[in-house]
Amino acid sequence: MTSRFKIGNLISSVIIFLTSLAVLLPIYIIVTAAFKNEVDIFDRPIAILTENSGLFNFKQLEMFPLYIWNSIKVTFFCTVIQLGTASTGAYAFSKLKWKGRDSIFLLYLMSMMIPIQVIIIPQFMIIRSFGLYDTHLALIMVASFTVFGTFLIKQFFMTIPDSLLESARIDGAHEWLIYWKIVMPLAKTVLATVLIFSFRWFWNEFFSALIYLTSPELKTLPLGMTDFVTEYMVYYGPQMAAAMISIIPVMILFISLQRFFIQGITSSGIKG
Amino acid sequence: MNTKSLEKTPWPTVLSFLLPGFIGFILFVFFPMLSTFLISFTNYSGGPNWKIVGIDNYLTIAKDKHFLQSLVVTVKFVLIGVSLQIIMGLLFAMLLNRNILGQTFFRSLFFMPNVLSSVGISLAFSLIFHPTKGVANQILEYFGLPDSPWLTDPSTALLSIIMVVLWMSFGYYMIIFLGGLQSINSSLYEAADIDGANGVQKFFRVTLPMLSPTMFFALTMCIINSFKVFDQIFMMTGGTDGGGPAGSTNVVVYDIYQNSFRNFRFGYASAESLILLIIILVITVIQFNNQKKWVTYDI
Amino acid sequence: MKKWVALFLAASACLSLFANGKSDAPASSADGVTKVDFYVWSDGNDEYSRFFDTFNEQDLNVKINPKYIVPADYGSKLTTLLAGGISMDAYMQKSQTDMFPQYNNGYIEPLDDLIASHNYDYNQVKSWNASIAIDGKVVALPHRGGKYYTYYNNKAFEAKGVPTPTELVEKGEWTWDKFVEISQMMSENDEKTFGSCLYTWGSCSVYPAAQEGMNFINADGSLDVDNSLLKSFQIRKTLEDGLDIPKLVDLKVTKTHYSQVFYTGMAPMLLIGEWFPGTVQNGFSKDLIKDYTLDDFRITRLPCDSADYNSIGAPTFGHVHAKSKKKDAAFEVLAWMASPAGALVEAKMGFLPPMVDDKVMEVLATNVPDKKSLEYFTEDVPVKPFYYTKYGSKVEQIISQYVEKYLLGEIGDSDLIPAFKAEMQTIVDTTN
Repeated sequence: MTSRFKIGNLISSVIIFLTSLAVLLPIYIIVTAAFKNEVDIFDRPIAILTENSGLFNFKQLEMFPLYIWNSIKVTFFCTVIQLGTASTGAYAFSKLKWKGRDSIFLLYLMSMMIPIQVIIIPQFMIIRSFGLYDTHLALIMVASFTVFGTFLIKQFFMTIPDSLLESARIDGAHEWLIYWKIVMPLAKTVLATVLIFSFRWFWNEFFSALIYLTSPELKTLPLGMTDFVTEYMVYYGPQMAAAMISIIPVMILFISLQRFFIQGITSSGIKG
Repeated sequence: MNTKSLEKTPWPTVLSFLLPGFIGFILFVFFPMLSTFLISFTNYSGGPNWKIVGIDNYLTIAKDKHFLQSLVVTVKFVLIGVSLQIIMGLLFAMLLNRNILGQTFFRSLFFMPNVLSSVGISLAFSLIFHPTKGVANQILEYFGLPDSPWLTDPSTALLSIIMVVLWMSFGYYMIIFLGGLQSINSSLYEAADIDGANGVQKFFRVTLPMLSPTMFFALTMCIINSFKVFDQIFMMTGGTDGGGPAGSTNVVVYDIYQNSFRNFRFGYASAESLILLIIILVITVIQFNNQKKWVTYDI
Repeated sequence: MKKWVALFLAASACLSLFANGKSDAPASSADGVTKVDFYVWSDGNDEYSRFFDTFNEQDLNVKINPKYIVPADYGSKLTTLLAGGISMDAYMQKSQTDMFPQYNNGYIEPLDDLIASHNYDYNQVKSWNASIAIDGKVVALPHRGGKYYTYYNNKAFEAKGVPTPTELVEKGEWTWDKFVEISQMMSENDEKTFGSCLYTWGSCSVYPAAQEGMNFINADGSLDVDNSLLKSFQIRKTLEDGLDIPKLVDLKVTKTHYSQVFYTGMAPMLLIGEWFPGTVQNGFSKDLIKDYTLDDFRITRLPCDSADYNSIGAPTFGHVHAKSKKKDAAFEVLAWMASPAGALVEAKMGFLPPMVDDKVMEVLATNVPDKKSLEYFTEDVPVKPFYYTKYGSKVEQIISQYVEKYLLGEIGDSDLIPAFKAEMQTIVDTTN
C-alpha cells in the first residue's frame, strides 16, 4: 500500500513537472522577448539575454498607464455587474419554479452558440442608437450578463438541497433573503471562479473594444497593444512588454482568490 | 432536473431575479440574434439594396464545398480538442487538489496561459513551431525523432492548433474542476474509506458522480467554445485570407467571418451561423436530455 | 428598501462616470470651423497622421478630426461602422476593390458635382481614372500612386557579381524567366539567404498574370482565366522548391514581414508596391537595417515578358461618406491630399504621390538617392490594377487558397485551371 502510494506520488510529480516545463516555455519566450529587439526576438528566441537586451520596449509604453486604468475601470464594473446578474439569474433558473424556465435557459445558452461576428452589426446599431458608440459604457452594457457565469453558478446551486431552502420558505422568508443569507454564502468557491473568469475575459477582450472604442484616450489594454501593429511593420517587443505587464493584475487576483480553492474550508456540510 | 413538487414562484419574484441580466441579454444578444435569423433569408450586403430570397442561402450552403469542408475541419477540431481539454483539465484538477508542495504555484502557472494576450501566445508558438529553427523541432531532434512541419503542412496544422488551444485552456477547465472538487463533502470520502475503497474505486464512486454537474457544465461549454474556435486560428495560420495552409484550418466561423467582413455576404453568413447554431443546439439538447442518466444533483 | 434605493443611486452615479459628454458634435462650431470625422488606418505616427497634422496646421476653416483604427483590423471595424450606420464624413479605402460593394451599398458619395463646385483640377489625377471611377462616376480621389517595382540591395549584387535588375532592364532582358534565373543566382540555398522574395498576399503570386491584364473575372461577369495563372504559380513553385525564395507558408506562420526580409538581408530583392521606399526609410530611422546603407537601395521596373512595359497596382484613395452632413468640408480634405501640396507630404515619407512635379522630385531624391532608381520610380508607364472589379476581393481570397494548394502539391498543373475557373464561376453566381 505505502509503496504504491509512493509510486503514485512520484508519477504525479513527474507529470506536473513535465507539464510545467511545457507551460513555461512559451511564457519564457514572451517574457524574454520583452527585453529583446525585433531582430533578436526572431533569431534568438531561446536566449535569456542578448547583447542588445534592455528596457527599451518598456520605455515605449508611455500611454499604458492610461490604458491600464481604462481596463481596470471597465473590467471592474463588468465583473461586479456580471457577478450580480449571474448569481441572481442562476438562482431564478435553479431554485425558483416558473413556467418556461428550461426553454428560457436554453435560449440563454443559444446566445453562446452564435458567433459574435454575425451579431456585431445589429448589436452595434442598438448601441449606436443609445448614443453609446465610443464610450466605455458600451462595453459594460454588452457585457452586463454572462451566460457562462449563470450556467456555472446554476450548476452549483442545483447541488444545494431544496430542503435547506424549503424550511426557510416555510418560515416565511422572502426569496431574496434566502438567496442572500443561505445560498450565496455557500457559493463562495463558484463565485470566486466566476470572478476570475469574468475578470480574465474583460481584461483580454479585444473584439468589442475594437468595434466600440475609437478615441485613443478610451483604449483598453488589449486595444492599446495594437499601437505597435503598424501598416508596414509589426513591433513585437513592446507588445510583449505590455503583455507581461498585463498579466500581473490577473495573477494577483488569482492568487489572492486561492483561499477559496483550498480543500475543506468551504462547502463542508452543505450536503447530506 | 430536480422535480420535487414545489409551488410556482410568483412572477414578480422570478422577474426580480431574472431581469438584471435578462435586459442586457434581450437588447444586445437576443435582438441581434433575431435579426440574424431574419437576415438569413435575404441577400443583405450591408446597404439598402437587398431583397428577400427565401431559403436560397440555405440551398447554396448545402452545395458550398468551402462550407462543408470547414464543417469537417470544425468537427475534427471539436472531437480531438474537447476530449483532450476535458481530460487534461480533470487530471490536473485532481493532481493539484491534494496538499502538495507548491500547490498555489502550480495552479497559478497552469492558469497563466489563459491570461496571456493572444498576440503573445501566437508569437511564442510561431517561434516554437518555426519550421527550421523552432524549439519544437529541436526537441524532436534531441530525441532522435524526425522534424515535423507543424503549422506549415495541411496534415499537421490543425493538430498544432489543437496543441496551442490545449496549452491555453486546460488550466481553465482545471480551475472549473477544482471548484467542483472543492464542493465535494469530505465525509463522503471518509465513508468510502470505512468501506475499504481504494483510490480508483473512490474516484468512480465518489469523485465522478459528485463532479458530474461540473463535468456536465465543462463539457457543454467546451463543445460550444470549440465549435466557435476562431481567434487562435486567425492569429496562428490565417489572416484575412482564410485558415491556412491551403484551407486546412478553415473552420466554420472562419468562413462566416470571411463572408461577412470580407465578402459583404451578410445574408449568407447569417444562414451559415444559424446552421452552426442548430448543430451546437442539437448536441446541447441531447446532452441536456441525457444528463438525467449520469449527472447527480442534490444528494 | 432604503438600502436598495441607496444602492441604485450609487450605481447610477457610477454609470454617469462613463457618460460624460459623448454626444454628436454640431456640424460646425461657433468659430466657424467645420470638423471632418475621417476614418483611417493608422498607428498615429505614420503617413496619415502626418497628412492630417499638416492639414490641420493650415489656417483653414476645415479641420480634420482623425479617427485612427489599427491597420490589421481596419476592415472589420470599417464594415461594422458603415453597415451600422455611424455618422462619418470621410474614410480611407484599405482594400481598393471593396469600393465596388461599398458603392453599391450607397456608402460612397460620387464626387463629380463636388469636383465641379470646388473647381478641383481633375486632370491632376486623371491618369488614375480607371481605378477611381465606377460607371463613369468619380468615387474617390487618390493621395498615393499605385505601382509595383523591383527593389534590390545593390551591395549584395556587387558582392556576388551578379548582373543587377537595372542592367537587365536596360538591356531589355528583365523578363520573368530572367527573374527566376537571377533569384537562383543570388540565393545561398541554405534557407537563410534567399535570392528574392514574393510576399504572402494573393496578388504577389499572380504578378505575371496581372501584368498581362488578366482580370480573372471581367466586370460583366465573364471569366478571364488562362494559362498565365498557371505560369505565375509555376514561377513561385520553382523558386520555392529550389529554396530561392522564402516559402509562402513559412512567411505566414513565422509572421515574417516582407520588410523584415529585406531589412535583414534574408533576400536582396523584393517585388512590391510604391510605398516601399518609405518603409525602407523607416527601417533606417529605426535602426533596423545594419548591413547596408540607403545608397545601396535600388529601384527598377518589374520583370516583364512583353516589349511594351507596364506595371501593376492601384492608387490609394479616400471617399466622402454618402451620409455625411459635411460633404464639402470632407471633399476639401480629399482634394488637398490629391493636390501638389498633398503630394509633397506623401513624397517626404518616401511614397509615390499620384502626381509628380519638380518639387516632388526634389523631395523624393532624399529618400531615393540613386538617380536611375528615382527615374524608374517616377517614370510615366501604364499601370494595370489587380482584378479590379466588384468581384476582386473574393478573387484574391481564392488565389490565396489555390496558390497554397498548388505549392503544397494538393492540386496539379492539369487540374488547376478548371478548378480555379469553377471557383470563379461560383463567385459570379453568388455576387449580387
